[in-house]
Amino acid sequence: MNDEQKKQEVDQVAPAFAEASVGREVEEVAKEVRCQKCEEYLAGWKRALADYDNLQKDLARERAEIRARVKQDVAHQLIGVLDNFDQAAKFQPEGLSKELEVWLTGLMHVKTQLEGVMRDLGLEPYGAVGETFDAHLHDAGGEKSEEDKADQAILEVVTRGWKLGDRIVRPAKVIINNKQ
Amino acid sequence: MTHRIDIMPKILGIDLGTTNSCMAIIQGGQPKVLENKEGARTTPSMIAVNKAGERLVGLPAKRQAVTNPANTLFSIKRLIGRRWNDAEVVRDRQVMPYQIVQKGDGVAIKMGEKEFTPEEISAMILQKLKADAEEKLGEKIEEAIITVPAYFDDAQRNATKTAGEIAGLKVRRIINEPTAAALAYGFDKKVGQQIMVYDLGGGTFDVSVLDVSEDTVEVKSTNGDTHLGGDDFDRVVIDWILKEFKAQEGIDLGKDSLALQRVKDAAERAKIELSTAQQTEINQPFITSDANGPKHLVLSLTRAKLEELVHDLVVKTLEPVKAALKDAGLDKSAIQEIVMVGGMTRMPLVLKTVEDFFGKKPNVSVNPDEVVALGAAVQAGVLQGEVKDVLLLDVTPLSVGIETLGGVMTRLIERNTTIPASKSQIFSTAADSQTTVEIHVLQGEREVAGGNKTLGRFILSGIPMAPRGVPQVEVKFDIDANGILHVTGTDKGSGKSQSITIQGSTGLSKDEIERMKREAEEHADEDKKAKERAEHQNLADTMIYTSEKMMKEAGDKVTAQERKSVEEKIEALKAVKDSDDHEAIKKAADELSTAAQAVGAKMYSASAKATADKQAQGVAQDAKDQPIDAEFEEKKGE
Repeated sequence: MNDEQKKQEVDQVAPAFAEASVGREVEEVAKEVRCQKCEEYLAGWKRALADYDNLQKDLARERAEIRARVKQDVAHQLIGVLDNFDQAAKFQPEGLSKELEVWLTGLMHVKTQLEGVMRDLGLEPYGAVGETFDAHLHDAGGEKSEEDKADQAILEVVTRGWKLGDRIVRPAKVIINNKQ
Repeated sequence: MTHRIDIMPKILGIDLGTTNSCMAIIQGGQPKVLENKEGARTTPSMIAVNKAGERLVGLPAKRQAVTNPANTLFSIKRLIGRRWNDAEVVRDRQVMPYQIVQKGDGVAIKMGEKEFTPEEISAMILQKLKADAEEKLGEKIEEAIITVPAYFDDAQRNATKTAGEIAGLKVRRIINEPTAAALAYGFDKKVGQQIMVYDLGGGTFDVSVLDVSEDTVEVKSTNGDTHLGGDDFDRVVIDWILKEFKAQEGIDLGKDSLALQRVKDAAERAKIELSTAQQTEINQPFITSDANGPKHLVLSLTRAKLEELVHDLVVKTLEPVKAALKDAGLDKSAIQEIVMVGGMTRMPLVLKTVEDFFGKKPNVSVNPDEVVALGAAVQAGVLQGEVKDVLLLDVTPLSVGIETLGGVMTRLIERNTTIPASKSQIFSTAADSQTTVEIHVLQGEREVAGGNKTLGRFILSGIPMAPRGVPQVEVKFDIDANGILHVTGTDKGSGKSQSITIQGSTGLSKDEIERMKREAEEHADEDKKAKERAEHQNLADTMIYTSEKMMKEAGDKVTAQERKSVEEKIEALKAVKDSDDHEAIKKAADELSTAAQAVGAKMYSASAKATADKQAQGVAQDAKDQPIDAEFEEKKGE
């Protein structure tokens, strides 16, 4: 029986049994209900205080997480730009004139600068040819089979991986050696 | 320090999805999604065994799928509780890259050298969720509520329960996904209502009609398309990109697996961006090359174009909706609430199509990727007893505050603040020797005091005579749990206090609240301008006042030239201060500030007199740092 029902019952019972002895009984039931209500409210109040206390702790933790997440989100946007710089470098044409060489060197300095920004944000790149594929760190974008290389070895890094502390912000996309 | 002992262990709410799974718990009476170990809110429902014999669950399994397709299991939910000869199994046996074998009447899947039942595979996903939740919460999880599609039969439900048990979880309930979604919105309280749940996920589309009664939420009918989802929408965009690129460059990117992956990522990103933006750019430089050099993929995709591309897919979802209504014996007008589930329902065209069909707005306020898990957590909370006696806390429907100088409303308690709540702020006088202040209590969202509702007003008198800005009047707003607002004004100098009690500050009708909010939106621009004008004028008045006062008290400590310079600047500011030219006011105020600061600095170095010190500081300071001037009128004869 919930409290509301109990209360209603007391309300209904009270006027019908107004005589002394029964009245006392009713009074006692009402008192008991009131006592239960007090207990319930006290428990609820304590719970509310505990919840608030826990909420404050949660908020402090969440604030730290949000900071890390914001950093991660910003980094994620920049990673895409860096990928394209890497991609551009792969397509560097041969036989460039001296002037274009110098211009390209300058452009690649911009890339280095961007990598510096990533490091300042606490991000570290990873992923290199020859390392063994690890699905916790790498994302297999494709496979080849080369006899002279170790099985599951990374043959090509399509895009570098980035981590922030222990957290993988973006896994390295790689082509692996998958011997049949 | 006290140590809290959790007597009641947490029950985990789990949405065990075909493509992704999600988990949530009840914390402080509210459902909350738990992130997995990798920090993601959803976990791919994928399992793999790599060459080293290591078992991978979730994201790592997904990352190696390309190179290990035979041993990477996904969409296991399509197989759970099925028999070998079921149509779904027959179909999957042909299309799945992994091997499905017969086991008794049912099925098993080969992974590595071993065979596993779908229950065992699902248990591996559940085990990961359990372990991640335990790590996150720092406590053991032993019980769970798992959701299943409404069309799951007994065998599928039992198999799902078995999966939970294999994972070491006592499955307290298996509940329907649409029911869970309705629970997340609290619609189980809407007795006598019919609810439509529209669930467009990554690979499947489900519709359900729910009937809410006193004790139960009954699924009246279900329908759907087991092979329609977000992946199909992505496919349409990918095809469009490939076609456009081929038309531009004559190269088929579909044949280059790495380029295709970049196109897939870009297509998904564009689709998501177009849920909020009208146009997006697909920019993938150096995507490929030919004899003429590198090629760049740069395309512009508008929302209108995307909607044209996916139009047929969206319209296709209406057929199952109509069929479900028919099976439930209901007309679409009988549906009171529509709940949207699945990431695809964020697409504006999907929302519009559903809204146009039903003639009412669907519910989208709960994250559609998480709504099922959140609903499972709500059910868990009911079982734990946490939600049963939740005290419903009220919120303030509109902001309350007072009128301050220039007819501006200064809010003390913002709209949507949970009550009971209280807040106080210090204000000051607007004129010298002002002995009374009027506290005009307002309610509403308009910046301009006159546009809001007057709740009451009172006069605080007996403030000791002092220059403007010196008296400190604390105004305290307190809304108790019954929504009764108590406003108290106290002069900190004399300790004199006045107060007013306003009944029913929260008891506005819905129409009234909506009207006031709408008016605030309609007048937002003009109100902002009026507020800025008032702020600039207040700033100008303060500057003029403090500069004149400083010059008066400076006496012969300044040269005639310096005095002339400051006075000229004061006159210049006076000339523009009542105009609407904010820039001119700001410029004149800045010039006066610079001139006055120069004088102030000189006075500092010439004299250490405390009075001069104080006045100079007053001028140099930005007026915003000073107490806010309340809208006070000089009460003559009081």
